[in-house]
Parts: sequence; C-alpha cells; structure tokens
Amino acid sequence: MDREKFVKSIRRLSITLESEHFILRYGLRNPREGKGLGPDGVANSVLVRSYRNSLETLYQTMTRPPWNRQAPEVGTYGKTIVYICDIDYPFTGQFRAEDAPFIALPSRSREPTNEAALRRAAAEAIHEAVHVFNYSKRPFAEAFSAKWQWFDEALAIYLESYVLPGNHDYFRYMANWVDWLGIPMNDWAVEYQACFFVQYLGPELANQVWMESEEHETPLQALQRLAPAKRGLEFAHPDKQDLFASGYSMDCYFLRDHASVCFSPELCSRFGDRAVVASGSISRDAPALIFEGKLAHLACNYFRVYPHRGVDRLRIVMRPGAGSQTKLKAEVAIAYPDFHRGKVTTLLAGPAAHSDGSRSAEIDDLPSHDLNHVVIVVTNCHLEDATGTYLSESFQIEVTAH
Amino acid sequence: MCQFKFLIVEDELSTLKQLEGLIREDFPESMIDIAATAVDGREFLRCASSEGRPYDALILDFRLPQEMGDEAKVDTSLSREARRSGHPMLVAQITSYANDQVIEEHLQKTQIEQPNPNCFLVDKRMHDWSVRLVGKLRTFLYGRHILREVDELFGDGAGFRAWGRGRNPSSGGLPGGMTHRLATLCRIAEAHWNDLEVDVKQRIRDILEVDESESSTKPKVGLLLEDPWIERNLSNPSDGSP
Repeated sequence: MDREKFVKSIRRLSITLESEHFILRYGLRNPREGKGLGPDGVANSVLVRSYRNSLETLYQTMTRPPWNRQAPEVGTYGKTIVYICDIDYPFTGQFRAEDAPFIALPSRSREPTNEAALRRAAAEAIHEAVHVFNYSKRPFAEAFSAKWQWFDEALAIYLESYVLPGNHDYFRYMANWVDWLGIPMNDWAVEYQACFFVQYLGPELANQVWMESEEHETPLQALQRLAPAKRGLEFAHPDKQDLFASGYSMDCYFLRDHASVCFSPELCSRFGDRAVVASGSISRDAPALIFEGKLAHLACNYFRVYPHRGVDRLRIVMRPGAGSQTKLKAEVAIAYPDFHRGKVTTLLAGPAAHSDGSRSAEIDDLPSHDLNHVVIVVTNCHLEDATGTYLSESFQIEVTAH
Repeated sequence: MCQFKFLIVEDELSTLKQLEGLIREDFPESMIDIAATAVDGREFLRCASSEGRPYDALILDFRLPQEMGDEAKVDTSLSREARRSGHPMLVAQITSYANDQVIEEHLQKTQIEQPNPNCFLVDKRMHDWSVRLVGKLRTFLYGRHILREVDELFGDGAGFRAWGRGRNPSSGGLPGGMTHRLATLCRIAEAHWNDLEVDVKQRIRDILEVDESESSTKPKVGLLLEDPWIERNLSNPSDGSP
C-alpha cells in the first residue's frame, strides 16, 4: 500500500452520506458532471447505502441487550468516519491524534455477482463496526490489546452472522476450520474461525468476556474466571464438564444436529463434515484398533469407529503421553445415521494407583440398528502456564470390541 | 507483542540466570533456549535452522567448554555456525577477558575479513554491560521486526491491498488481518521509538504519520493522525463538510 495514495484517495472523496452514527465519505466513478474517480469511486450509491444500513443495524444491535455497549469513541465530528475508496479489503484504523477509530471500506468488489458483492459489503461493514465498538475497551494503542486480537476477530465474524442471519459470507474462511486438524482454538492463524467458539459461548457470555475482563487478563484467563460464575462450568478441564472440551469441541462435530449450538447444515453442505484424524471398523473380539496422535493446547481431534454387526460393547482406553499430569480429555459419542448425537460417555481415570494417567470407558449399550459410528473426541485442556508456554501432548487410543 | 527466539550459551550458572532474567523481563513473549557447552549450542543452532525457525539473537560466552567437564576456552565456532546458517541474527559475545590475545585476534580478523554489524562484543567488566546488551537487542530486534512488517504491509503488491478481512490464513505470511497488523505495527513503533536506529525511524516516517511534537513522551504513530478532511475543510470551508 502506498499511504500517500490512500490519503490522496480520501481527499478526493467529494460526497458525504451522513447517518445517525456514521459519516460515510465516498465519490462516484462516473458522476454526471466533473471528473470521475476511477477505482476510488463507487459505481452508484447502492453500495454506499448498503454499507450505511449495515453499520446502523450493527450500531442498534450493539447498544441494546444483550450487548449493551456504550457509544463508541468518536472524533471531531461526533460520529464514526467511514472512507469508501479503492482498497481490496476493509480495515479499521485509528486517528492517532484523537484516539478515535475510523473505518475504510472498498469502493468496488471482485465478487462475480451483484448479490454476492452486496452480501459481502454488508458483512464487511458489520465486521469493521464491531472493531469500532470493541476499540473502546481495548484501544489499539494499548500493548495488552494484542492479546485480544483473536477474540476481537472472532467476535467480529460471529456478529456478521448474528446481525445478518442467512448471510453466509463468512463461510469463505471456514474451509480451513472444517479441513484442518488440531489447530489451537486461540491460534492467530485461525482467529476468524474462532467465531464458532464465540457462537458456542453465546452473545451474553462472549460479551461479558470482552466487557468484564480485567485490564491485564487474556481472553482465556477471563474465560477461566467468568465461565464458572456465569455458566456454572469450568472453561477447560480434563476431569469435569467444561465449555471447551465437553461443550464446544463435541458440539462442533455434530454440525448437522439441531441440538448442537453450532448447528450449521449449510456449512456441511458446502464443505462436508469436519475432518477426522483416522477411522476404523472393528469386529467382535478382533484385534484392537490403535490410534495415535499429538495434540496442541486447546485443540481437538476426532476419531471414528465403525462397529460391525454383533458388537455389543466397546472398550476404549486413552494413554496420555504426560501420564498422570495429563491435560487430555477423551469423550465418546454415538453418531446416528442422520448425524445427530446420541449418548456421550467420558473416559475416566482409574484408581489413584493408576499412575500412567490412562483413562477408559465401556460403551455397553450400543444401539443395535440405528448406529452409524462412534466418535472419539480427544481434547487438550492445557492452557498457557505461568511462563506463557503452551504444551502439546501425545496420546494413544486403543479400542476393543466384545 | 513480539515473539523473538533467543539462544544463550553460557557455562557459568550465575551469568546464565542473569541473562535469562534480562531477556525475560525485556522480551516477555520470547522463547529462550539454553546451552552450557559449545557442542550443545551448535546442535541447537543446527536444529533451529533445519526446522526453519532460526534464532533472532544469540548470546554467547566467549569462553566455553566444548563438552561438560572440558576446560573453558575461547570459542568462535558458534558465531561461525550462525554466520554459515545465512539467517540474519544478532550475535552478542560476552566476555570478562576482552584483552585476551586470542579474543582480540578473533575480533580483528572478523572485523577485517568478514565485518558483521550484527555481531558485537559485550565487555562484562563494564558496570552497565547488561544495559548495553539489552539496548542493542532492542534496537536490532524491534527495528528488524518493524522493517519486515512495513515491507509486508506497504511494500510493492503487499498486504494493504491484498489482505485484511479477506486474507486466507493458509496462504502463508504472518497471521492477522489488516486491522490488527496495522495497529500492532504502530504500537510497536511507538513503544520502541527511542530504541530505533535513525534509518528505521525515517522508514516509518516515510510510510506512516508520526507526531513527535511532545518530545518528552513517546511519539504517536498512525496511518492517519486525524481525518484529512479536517485539513481540507479548513482550507476550503464550503467543501461539503457535514
């Protein structure tokens, strides 16, 4: 980017559309009189009005329950400035002298159809306006804001679908979320994809994490503190019902199940089911199925087991690499042919004398007809330790059928 | 926040702890590997290079045992290994024996034959050696980080036009959308302004707006310090201001 060109572009924007909370500055590519702005100009005002409508809709959403946000920081004009010019992708910046955010949105689109272009424009305006609201609590200039980057992006993507249900523009980021295996939930490379985690938290808790976090808390620390108080659950815990493993990670396997918070059949239609690490079928008294893996912190892996006819009972053992210090959790769920979720069983640690940290479960009530497969969900509940280190852990899963 | 990768090779436990403490305090997000012998140090260097995650800075004791139990002698193999790797990293060589003939010869030789501005000597006999060391590290590491980001975001055909909300994380490069990468660049430039070399500061001024009017405090760095329309409207009050 050439900053000078950007500033020059802004200066050439000759038209202002002012709404209740935003000032949109734009120009026309082909005005009836005078010089056209070329790529800095919009083809017509439809795009600008779409931006305005989305920005105001988001504003209304954020200032009402359950978000209840205060009006965002604004500069000289008392409203948020929005520039519409030739940038390929939008962003939120800040007027550093005033410490107020501004938005830059594209004046044109490469989407192949007008409908797609307008859907994308609406989503992008929502997305950037979320950054404007979030800025009040975590201004860009503050060093600790960097720790909240992934949660800021996750909230922004989540709100696209929250404010515009049916607008699936955000699916453009979801292929990786479906295909990739075992990426940590808070990895910066998947910050957009963490929108599903925010969806699982729901608007109330997600908003509380942002707004009620303390100055030097990370999102994960805020979640650890707030989840028990607000939901009565730990955030991530290898031995208890928790939000991350038992909740989010399990839920996100069953995207076609109406009971899932992350229910998203359109996503499955587009990209298929989430990637599994390995699958295997097993017969009664056949040799054990062995799966091995290594899992980063706050990541999950899925393994599928297809029991043959005649199998009444499965025994599943997980042997963690870290032994009794393990932070790994394994849960087993029945998957029915329509991919809705059946009974969930947690693998439990043996008696204290069992020092290898292994966990096991017997699944002795397998449905005789409707069963499609059994999914084993392995999660790493390790969070950042005192030295700021994240830990990966290896494991082995053994499945036997009786 | 910046995550840098350090290797400290030091056989004296008290110095090692002091160095580690200095790094952790000034570069809290960083990864630090530690070795006590030249052989282990070289192994760390080779592994990091083969894994494609080279060190950003090496802090080396000039006198090291080859292996545990050996006598500590002047060692130049680690700085040579670092140079061979081809990765630009800062090499700080620490010694309390700056007048040692072998060390002097090595320094003269390297400065004449293969001058390397990223390699410097830290004389532990100076009372402020730790301050000097940390200062050099900050200047080099933050300066290089900023220049990389500036090139990635503002270089020819770079991120400002190609990334942002639409960036595909699988396409490589550094993580993050335009909003936060730009914010991070400005934040780091502001926070470490006084550590930066003159040419790095100038590069930032060429690309971004820098307000240094309050010279006693940090400058303000941003893509825009204020709405350019304010200036435009001041010069032409009838020009469509709201």
